[in-house]
Amino acid sequence: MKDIMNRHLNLLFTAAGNLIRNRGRSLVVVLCLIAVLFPFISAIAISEGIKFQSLISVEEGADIYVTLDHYGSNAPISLQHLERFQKMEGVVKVFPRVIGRTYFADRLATIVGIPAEEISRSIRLVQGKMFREKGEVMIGKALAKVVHLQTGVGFTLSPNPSKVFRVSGMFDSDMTIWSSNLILMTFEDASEFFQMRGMATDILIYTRPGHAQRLAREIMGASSYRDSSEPPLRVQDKSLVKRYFQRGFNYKAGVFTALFTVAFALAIPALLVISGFGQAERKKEIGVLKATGWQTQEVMEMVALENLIIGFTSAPLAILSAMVWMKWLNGAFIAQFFIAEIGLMASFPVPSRFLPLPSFFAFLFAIVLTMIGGLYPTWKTATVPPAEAMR
Amino acid sequence: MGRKIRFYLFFLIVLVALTVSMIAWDQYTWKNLRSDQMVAFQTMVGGVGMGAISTPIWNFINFDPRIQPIDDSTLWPIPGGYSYGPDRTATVSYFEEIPTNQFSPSPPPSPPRGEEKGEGK
Repeated sequence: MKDIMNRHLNLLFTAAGNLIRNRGRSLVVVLCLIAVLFPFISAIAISEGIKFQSLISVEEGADIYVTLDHYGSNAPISLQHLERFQKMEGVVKVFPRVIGRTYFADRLATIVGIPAEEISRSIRLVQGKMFREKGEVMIGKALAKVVHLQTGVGFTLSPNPSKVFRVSGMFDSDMTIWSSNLILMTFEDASEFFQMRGMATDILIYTRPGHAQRLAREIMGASSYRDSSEPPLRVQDKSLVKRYFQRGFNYKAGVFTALFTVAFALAIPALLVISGFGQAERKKEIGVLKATGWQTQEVMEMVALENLIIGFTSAPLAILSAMVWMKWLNGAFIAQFFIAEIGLMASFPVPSRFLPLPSFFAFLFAIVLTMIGGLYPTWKTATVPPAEAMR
Repeated sequence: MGRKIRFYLFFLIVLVALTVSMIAWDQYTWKNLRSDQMVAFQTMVGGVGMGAISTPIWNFINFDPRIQPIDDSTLWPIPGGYSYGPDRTATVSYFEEIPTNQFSPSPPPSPPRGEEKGEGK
């Protein structure tokens, strides 16, 4: 038993020695593996980070969102519906909301208008205070940076230049990725700004647990038989929103992983086969080993151990460099490939989450694929007579 | 066993241990993340933002499908054409409209009580 253990250990030491002796070849393979694994790990980490924030958005959002249905798309809804929804059994809270977009200097901003009573006092601000008066707004720190806005400064926006706003405070940019370019104001101010008085983008309904689906059905049912010239209502409940979430992230992440696996699977053997880097030398080495009495099985084990060591060197290095890039350099230059429209340097902390499973896959990819690329040529060389291999 | 080999294998063990600890640390920090600000913000606004994009450029579906579940960039200029929104190429999230059955065989089911025209008036 001890002999067998010693034999395997000796093969491991020989494999490590081979890698050190052929350090040029080992370095190229390790660097190639890091270059291939790094974007994979970064993409999955960003995906998981955004997923975490997105889940909070879904969970903390309303139970039912009601809009009008104009030609199959969501459309603004009249505030006249509020009273009817409030009276429904199982409804806890109802409020209207305005969500729109406008350009703020050259940056696209999201405008959110909510009733003043919904304003939370527990929101942490980097500057100023929560708005209290008409015309006061809160803006994201990233947006404020664009035009060096300070609290107390007034501004207008071209869609409605008669509406004057004043910055009362700024959000912390690490709240969510969606709050960095956001302008928050009261519902009334937003309605005035978009000149859509008496209308809301959507009406949010909060229900008692277990009532949401029934209420959604009731609202839809009542809408179908309403004697009104108004278009039908469009109702989205939390279960539908959760389905958006699940499909939106899992589908894309799955496709990305599948494509990446294929690209990776093709890249490594192609690299080894096409470059033929160090293959002639390797052939001679195997020939010498066979001539000095090594069995094919032992040669194969040694090469497998070499690949294992390469995998265990490159995967951790790729994970650590991705972590450093994401956490300390805020995903500079590469985050823009995974989060659209953020530029070279994100103006908010790029969320990244390094889960054990993708890291395990990184190890697995590195090991399995280098094995595929390395074992077959070795076996081919090891099964020919030593004299031929050394020639 | 040479010194270099010993050093390399030791380096490998340290590297793997460091990676495992960093992943564990990341897990721990995310679990204990002060997400109270995110929760407070999302509760206040009723849930805004879902996708891997910080502004609703081109269309709203990438930003938040609750606001507009339709990719209206496919409706113009050629109806049914490919998506003109460049952010549809975002790598980590992709929202699409969830089909709902809007078909019902004739005659339609009877309306809920009290909703018929004129009833209760």
